[in-house]
Amino acid sequence: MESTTSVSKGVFLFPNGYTNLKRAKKNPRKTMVQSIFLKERWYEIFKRNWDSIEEQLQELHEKTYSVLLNDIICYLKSSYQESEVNNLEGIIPSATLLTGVNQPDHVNQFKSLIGLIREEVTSHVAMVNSQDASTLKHLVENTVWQLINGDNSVESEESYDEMSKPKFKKSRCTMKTLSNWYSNKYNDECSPKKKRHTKRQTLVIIIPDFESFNCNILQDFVMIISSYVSTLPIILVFGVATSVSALHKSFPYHVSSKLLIKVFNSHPSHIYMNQVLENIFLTHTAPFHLSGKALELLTDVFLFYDFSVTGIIQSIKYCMMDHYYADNMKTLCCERDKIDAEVMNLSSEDLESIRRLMSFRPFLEVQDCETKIGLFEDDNFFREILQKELHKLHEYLYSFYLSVKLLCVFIRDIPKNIMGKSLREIYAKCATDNIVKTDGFKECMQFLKFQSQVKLVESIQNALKIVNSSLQITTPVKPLRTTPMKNNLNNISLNSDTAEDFVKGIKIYLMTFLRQIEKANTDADLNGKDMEDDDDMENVDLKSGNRYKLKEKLLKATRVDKIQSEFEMVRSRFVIYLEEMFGRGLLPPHTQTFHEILFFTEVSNVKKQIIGAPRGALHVALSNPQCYLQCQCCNLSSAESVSETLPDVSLAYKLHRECGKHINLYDWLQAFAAVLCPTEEEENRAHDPMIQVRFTRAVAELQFLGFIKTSKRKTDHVMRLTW
Amino acid sequence: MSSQPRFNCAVESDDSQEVVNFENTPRRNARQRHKPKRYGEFLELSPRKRKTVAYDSSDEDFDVTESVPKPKALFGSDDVEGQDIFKFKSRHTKLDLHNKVKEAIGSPVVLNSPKTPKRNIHLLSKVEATPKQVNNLLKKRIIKEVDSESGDSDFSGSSSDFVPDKSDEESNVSSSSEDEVETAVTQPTPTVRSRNTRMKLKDSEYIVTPDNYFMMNSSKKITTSDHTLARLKNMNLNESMKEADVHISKEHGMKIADLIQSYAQLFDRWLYVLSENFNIIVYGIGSKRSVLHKFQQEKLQNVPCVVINGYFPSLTIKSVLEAIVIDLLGNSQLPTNMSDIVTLIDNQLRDSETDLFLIIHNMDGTMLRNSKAQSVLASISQLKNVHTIASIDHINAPLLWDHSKLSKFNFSWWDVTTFLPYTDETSYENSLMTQRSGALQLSSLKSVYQSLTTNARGIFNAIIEYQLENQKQSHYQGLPFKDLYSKSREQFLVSSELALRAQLTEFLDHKLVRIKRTLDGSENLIIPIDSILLQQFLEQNT
Repeated sequence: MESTTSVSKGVFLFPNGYTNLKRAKKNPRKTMVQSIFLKERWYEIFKRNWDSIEEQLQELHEKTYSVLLNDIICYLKSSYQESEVNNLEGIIPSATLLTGVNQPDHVNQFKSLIGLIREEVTSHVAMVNSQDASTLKHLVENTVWQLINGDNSVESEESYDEMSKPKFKKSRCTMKTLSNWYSNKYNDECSPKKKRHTKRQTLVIIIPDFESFNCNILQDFVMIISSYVSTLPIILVFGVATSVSALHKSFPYHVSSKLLIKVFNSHPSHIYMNQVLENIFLTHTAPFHLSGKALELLTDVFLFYDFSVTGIIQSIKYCMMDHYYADNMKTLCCERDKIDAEVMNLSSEDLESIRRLMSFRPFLEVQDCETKIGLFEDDNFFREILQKELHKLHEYLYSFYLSVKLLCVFIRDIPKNIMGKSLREIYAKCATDNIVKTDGFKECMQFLKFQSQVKLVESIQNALKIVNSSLQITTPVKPLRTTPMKNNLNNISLNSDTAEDFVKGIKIYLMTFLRQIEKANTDADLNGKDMEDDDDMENVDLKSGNRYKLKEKLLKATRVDKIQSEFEMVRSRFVIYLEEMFGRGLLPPHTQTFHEILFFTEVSNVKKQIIGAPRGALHVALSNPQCYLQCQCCNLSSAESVSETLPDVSLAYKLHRECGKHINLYDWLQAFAAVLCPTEEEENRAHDPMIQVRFTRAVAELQFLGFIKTSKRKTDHVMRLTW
Repeated sequence: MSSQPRFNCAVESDDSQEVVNFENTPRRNARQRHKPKRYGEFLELSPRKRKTVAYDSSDEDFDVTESVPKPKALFGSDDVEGQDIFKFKSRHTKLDLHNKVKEAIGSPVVLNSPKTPKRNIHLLSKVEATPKQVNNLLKKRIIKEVDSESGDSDFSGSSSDFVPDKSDEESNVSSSSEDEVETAVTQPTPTVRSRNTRMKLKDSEYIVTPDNYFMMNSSKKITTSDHTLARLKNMNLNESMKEADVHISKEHGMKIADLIQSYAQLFDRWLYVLSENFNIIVYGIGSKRSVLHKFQQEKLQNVPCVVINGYFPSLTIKSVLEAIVIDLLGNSQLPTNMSDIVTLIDNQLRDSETDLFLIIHNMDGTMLRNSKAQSVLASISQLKNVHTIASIDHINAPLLWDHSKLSKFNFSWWDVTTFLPYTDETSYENSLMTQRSGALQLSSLKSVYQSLTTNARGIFNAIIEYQLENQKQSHYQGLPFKDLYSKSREQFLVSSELALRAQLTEFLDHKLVRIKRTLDGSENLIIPIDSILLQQFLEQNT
């Protein structure tokens, strides 16, 4: 402890054997932290799964942004080619990218933009963040340095050495050096041998966080650039988080007139989030599944706190880390084809902990006595059952996710938006409780019964698309599942229908219903034809304004039984089928045996780590120390009462909450002393130096915590900083 | 101090509602006529609703057709209610504190002895709840009593003398029975917070109206008593402060040790979290130095570590960077640009495949509270090979980080409440009670002074005297070197200018004196210490 306490130093270094011999060890040494966990089996699985998720994320990321980025690239390419002729004097072409408020995500977006620009447009790109540009000088230096040296860092090492041109010192980088460098590089080179450099490459300057820049600096910067534009083909790219008006607001006319602005819109972040969730985490191929509550928590954090996709991915990663941590059982939470091997790797202790899972009990109760004993005594038998059950769980996942998707398709357009629109909302509902039993589901089905033919056909077609695509995914898995199982499992009751059969059944039913509904089209209004004639007659009457007749007619209409058209009949049969089908497919995960292995359920564990509550913790600790200390002495009748056994800070805190904006130190001390030793005379209480010291310390700590501060308004008073 | 103002003060504080209303009537009427557009909406917000309403606005652009969504999983039942922390009290009077104490020490007395004077009960009852007539009656009575206020509490204090044993016993019995219930609930999971906060009485429920806020903050007058600490006779804490150990009762000591023990079990977990490129932040009351120190001792013996005391008053972010870039990585100098530094650290750590651990005690310390320091820390912590463990204490610490900094830090939050005293953290601070005494400066000044030669002391005294005389001037530039030379010569302290300069270097090294060059090129000497302190110093040394 003493080693880090000093009155003259605030930073202490513990090299702990770090040597600066960089090239000494070439062999890839694993970092110390990883080496602790590396031998653990669960860590290995976790690492593998997370890496694969990260890969998928990367792919998805590129896919989602590709359209937008390509647009920008096209613009960047074209801007100096065609406009060469009609280039007005001193006008800079610029792209404005409206990115949205989720700033943490932009880093990735701009990274991929830079990558694309380097590939396709030019090797001279500079990206300057606001923190690197506190003054105009820094801004120019940074930009110019990056433009000149930027291509080196991308190109391979050897060309880096080969080029070895006089490296500019950063402090000497000005616009003038840039223009000299540029004219040397291109104007001179284009005449002699090097043909490929004849095309002048543009210079792209990216300003990712426009709002956090100082406007004056940017204004000056734009003006400077505009004076160089005739010699240097510069393009600006602004990343704007709010709206285009921000650009106009911070640039006065004489500046904005130098810019040729083209605006690009990027996706709102919640769409991207939905994509990430739907394509990566809410699929049956994902190695790890979130329970409904967990997903709700994470999406709430996204929607109500940070709006950042990076954030939600990190939170999911945290959940996954928590899921796997120090639990060998979770090695089973892996790809389906690896389950068999992993089950064999489990030690008997791991098996024991699996036996203790809550979801194992209902499974156990159905079995007969012999099997029960076998399950407990014989590890190998248990392993087999485990394998079988896990495969069943995967089958279940497959049909579950498909059913959720189908449900989503059918109820997406239903009015009132009862269950939510996006897959994640419906998933969260389905995964928490048995959705078929809920009122929301019943209401949805009611609405489905009123849906028009066109709509229904449309949604059935969509559903068929989903079914087909998911059937394609499963086919490669199929041979693996049919690996011969041992035959001594006959006495275990297993419902043998596989998910694939289930899905195929759905497909057949959907197709027949589709055909029937489509055909029912013409027959539907046959019955109603004569009715319509009557209606027409009465409509004429109504125009004369006979209210009585209308009433009568309506009364009559209620009495006449509505004759169902064929379409209506088919529709109600279809809805009944849907109810039955969802009833089978949408059983919530917690009804499944061993669901704990694949589903992350312990939300309360991670909640505090994901959203910290420092203020709440302080308040709880101060107003009720027993919460933390678990002591016998500080038993308080209410959260506000005080007692002498409380820790000093806590006592002082409670007393200070009774005061207004200003606190008289003397009175405070008196009150403090009175609580501590109620028996003494008032005059003498506070004179005990021991109490004074304790009080002083408590006050100092409260000040340190930010509850009070000194006040010069009145002698010996402090100001309260909270209400 | 005359007793007259105190009367007024008491009246206003006790019946403030009325007085303020009366004074402000015309103004408030006028205000209502021009009431702001959103006034109505504002009024409707009872504190209960605030939670959801506050979030609604942020969500408008998300789904327009949908009825406004509400967070489903964010708020659990074991959360601390915001109202509990942030509630307005209707009106703080100077008697509140008094009442509280009475409640704490006197309540058994009230129950048991019929001797308790009636007026005490009146004082205890809630002011807001009393009807006007009673209030007026009370007011008159209180005016009478106020003068003998101290007598009152004396009385109650001594009255509790009569029956201390009985009341103690009773409270003990009741508390122990409650204990059993409590512990039965909380025992199995010691680290999980029990829900004791929810048991609070609901009678303190209070509807926040905007008027109330302005009423609280409008009166410039401070409605507290005029007592000062000067009333205490033995107010020299400086000596006793150092000797006295921190007071922690025995049971609490044991429980705190248990708590800390339980945190030690988290260390492996922390390593795991850190290794996955999360950073760790620990919060909760009590000094967390020892926990983090233990973590370092146990787990980080073989890796380079940088420990930063954020509470250190002259810490600069530059010194942190220097420690990493120069001392650890062995570079000769620090690049000027922040992004260069970060890339340099990144590259070097990557090359040597080492992990660097940053342990920051009090990341919310005064010197780290600027956005520049935080953004530097954020971008360093973001690096793959740097792992940060930081502690925060200040209640508003989370305000330090904006969106992008938070995402760079990628924190996982851990509640590490220790209840340990902040001895090191507050040792630099001038406590409110020890009164900006500058004891530290004074003592260091003294110890340097004592090691000086008599001639040097004379020179130093000359500078002090000059400064004390002339500091009142608005543009005090310091003592010109020439003047000091002539003064010193007069007193035969030095014989040449060179000798004087040699003496001065001593002061300069200890930063007792600063040299300031004026525009005309002459050198001026300034002592960078408060004049009051200097005065004190002179008095003690002559």
